Amino acid sequence: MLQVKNISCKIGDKEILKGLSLNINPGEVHAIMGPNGTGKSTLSHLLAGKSGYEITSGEILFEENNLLEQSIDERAKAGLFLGFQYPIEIPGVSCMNFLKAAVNTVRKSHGKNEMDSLEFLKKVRQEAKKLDLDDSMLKRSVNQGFSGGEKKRFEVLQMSLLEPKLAILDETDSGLDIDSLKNIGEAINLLRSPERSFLIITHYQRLLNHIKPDVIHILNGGRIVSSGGFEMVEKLELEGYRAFGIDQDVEVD
Amino acid sequence: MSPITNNAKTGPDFLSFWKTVRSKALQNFQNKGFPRKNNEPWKYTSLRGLSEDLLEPMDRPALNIQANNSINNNFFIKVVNGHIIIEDSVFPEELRVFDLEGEHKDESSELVMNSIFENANNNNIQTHIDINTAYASKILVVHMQKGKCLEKPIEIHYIINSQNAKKSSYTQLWILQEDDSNITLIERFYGNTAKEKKYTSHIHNHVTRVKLNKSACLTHYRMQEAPEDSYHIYTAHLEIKDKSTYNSFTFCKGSMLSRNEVKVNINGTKAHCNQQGVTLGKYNQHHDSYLPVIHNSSDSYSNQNFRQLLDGNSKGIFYGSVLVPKDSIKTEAHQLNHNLLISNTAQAFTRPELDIFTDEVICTHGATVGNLDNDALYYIQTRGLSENQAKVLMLESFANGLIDEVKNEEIKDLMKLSLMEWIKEN
Repeated sequence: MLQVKNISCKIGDKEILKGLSLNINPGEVHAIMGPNGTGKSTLSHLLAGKSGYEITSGEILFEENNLLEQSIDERAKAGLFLGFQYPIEIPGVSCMNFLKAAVNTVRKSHGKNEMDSLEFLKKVRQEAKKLDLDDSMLKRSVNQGFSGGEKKRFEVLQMSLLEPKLAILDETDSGLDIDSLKNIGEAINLLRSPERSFLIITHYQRLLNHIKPDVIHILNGGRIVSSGGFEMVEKLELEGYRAFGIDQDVEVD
Repeated sequence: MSPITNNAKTGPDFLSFWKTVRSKALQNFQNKGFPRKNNEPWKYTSLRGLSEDLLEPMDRPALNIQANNSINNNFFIKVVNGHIIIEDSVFPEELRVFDLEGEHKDESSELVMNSIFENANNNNIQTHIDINTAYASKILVVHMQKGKCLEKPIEIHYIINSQNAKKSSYTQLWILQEDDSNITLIERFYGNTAKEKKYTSHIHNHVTRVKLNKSACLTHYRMQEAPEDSYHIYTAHLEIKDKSTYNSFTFCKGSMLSRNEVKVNINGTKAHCNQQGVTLGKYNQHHDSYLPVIHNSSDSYSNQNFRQLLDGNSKGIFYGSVLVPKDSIKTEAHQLNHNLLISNTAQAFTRPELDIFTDEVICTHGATVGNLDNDALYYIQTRGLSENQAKVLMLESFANGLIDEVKNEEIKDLMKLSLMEWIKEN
C-alpha cells in the first residue's frame, strides 16, 4: 500500500530524513517509535503533503501512485489520513460543517452521493458516541477551546468518518488519560480491516498494548535503525533506546 | 440641525416650520460642509472635497426601473433615485408618504415628526444630516398605534439608477411606535453601476429616525448592496423607551464608500438594544461603522457584535462607542468585533469603546484582527478539500457564524447567497 523508498529530505539547510525506507502492506499496523527530534513528525507531514520540505532523494508510492506528485487534498481523497499531533484550531468553522464538507468532498471524489444532513448527523452521532464525544461539542468551532483529550478524540472521529485506506496517527496518545486512551484504542481496533493500514507514531507502550501492531520500527537520525515484532516495545520499555544502540538520553514527555 | 430650536408646530404652521428648518439646514451645510476628520466620529472617513454638483438631488428616472423580487408578500415600498414610486408599492395603512413641500395636512405624520423631532439630538457635527434635511422633501412616515403588530415585514427597496448623472438621492424614514407595537423593517439598497466606474457617480444619503415607546419592538434588517461607484451615507438615530427592544442586523457589501452611523439613546429601564452586522470589503472599498449607544437609564441592555471580512485594498472600520453615565446602574453592555484580513493590503480599524462612569454594571468588550491561517488551510486540505475550498469554508464560516443569528429565514438566505457570490467573485 505504502512504499517509502530511500527518502531524504531537508528543511532549509537542515537534513531531517536520511534515506528512510518503509513498506506497509494492506491491513498491517506499523508503529514508529524513536527519540524526540529524529524525524517522526516530519515523515508524517511529508506523507500528508505539507509544503516546506525539500526532497533530496528517494520516492514514495501510495497504491502504486507517486505520492509526492499529488496535492494535499488529492492524497486525502486517495485515502491517506493524518491524525495531527497538535490539531489546529479553526475559529468560526463549526465541527459539524467541517466534517460534512470533508466527508462529502471525499465521497464525491469516489463517485458516491453526498450524504444528506439527516443521514450525516446520524452517522456522526453514532461515531461520536463510541469516542465518548458530546453532541454539543460538534456545534463548536473546530478544536477551539477543546481539551487535549478532546482534540485527539476529534481526530479519531474524523478518521472514522473519512474511512481512509492508510491512517497515520502522530502521537494520538499523548495527553490522554487512561479512559480516553482505551476509548481511542478501541475505536482504532474497530476500524482495522484487511484493506486498511495504520502507521502509529508514539512514545509509549500503552496505546500499542490496546492496538497490538504487526511491525515496530525504531527511528533515529532520520532513518529506521531497527524493525521487528511487538517484543521490541517491551524491550524498549525495559531498557530504553540504548537497547537499540541509540546512545542518548530519551526524554519521555 | 444645530441652529434650529425645536418648537414643533401643527397644521399650516407645520409646513412653514419645516420650510424654515430645511432652509436653515441648507445654510448650515453650506457654511460648514461635511464633518471634518478632527471630529472623532469622523476620524476615519472624509466626505469633504466632493463637488457641489454631485450633491444636487437626482431626477426621477423617465423609464420604469425594475426592482429585485421582494420577499413573499411583504409590504413593499419602491424608491428610485430618492423618489418614492407609489404606484409600484404596497403600503400598510401605518405607512404614509408625507410631502414637506405639499399642501396636504397629515396629522398622523405631523404627530410622528413632532414627537421624534422634539428629542432629536442636536450638535455641530451633523451636517451630513443637514443636507439630507434640506433636500429630502418626501418622507416615509410610519406610525404604529398602541398594541398594533404588523403581521408582515415592511420591505423598502432603495434603488439607484444613476446613468452617469453624478448626483445624489436623499431619503428619510421616520418611525414612531407606540406602546406594545411590533414591526419588522427590511431596508435593501442596490442599483446599477455607471459605465465609468472610476469616479463616484452617485451619493445616497439616507436618514432614519425612530422612537420606540414602552414595550415596543422593532426588528431591523439592512442589506447594503449599493453600486460599486456610489457613496452610501446611512444615518439612523433612535430613542428607545422602557422595556422596548431594538434588534438590528446590517449586511454591508456594496458601494465605494459607506458610512453607517447608528446612534441609540436608551431612555428607559429594561430596554434592549441588540446590533449585529457583517461587512464585506474588497478593491478600494471603505466601510465605516460608527455606533454610539448611550445608556441614559439604569437597568438596560446593549449588545454590539460585528464581523468584517476584508480583501484587496479595502478598509473596514468598527467604532462602537457605548456610554454608561453616572447613575446608570445595572447596565449590561457588550461589544465584540472580529476582523479577518484576506489580503496583505486590507486594513481593519477596530474601536470597541466603553465609557463607564458608574459601578454595578456588567460590561465586556473585545476585538480580534487576523488573517487566513496557513496551518488551518493545511489542516482542512488534509481532510480532502482543495486549497480554494478550504479558503471558501473559512470565509463562509467566519461570516455565517453571525448571519446564522438572523431570525428571519428569508433575509438570512438572501444574506448567505450574497455572501457566497462575494466569496466566489474573489
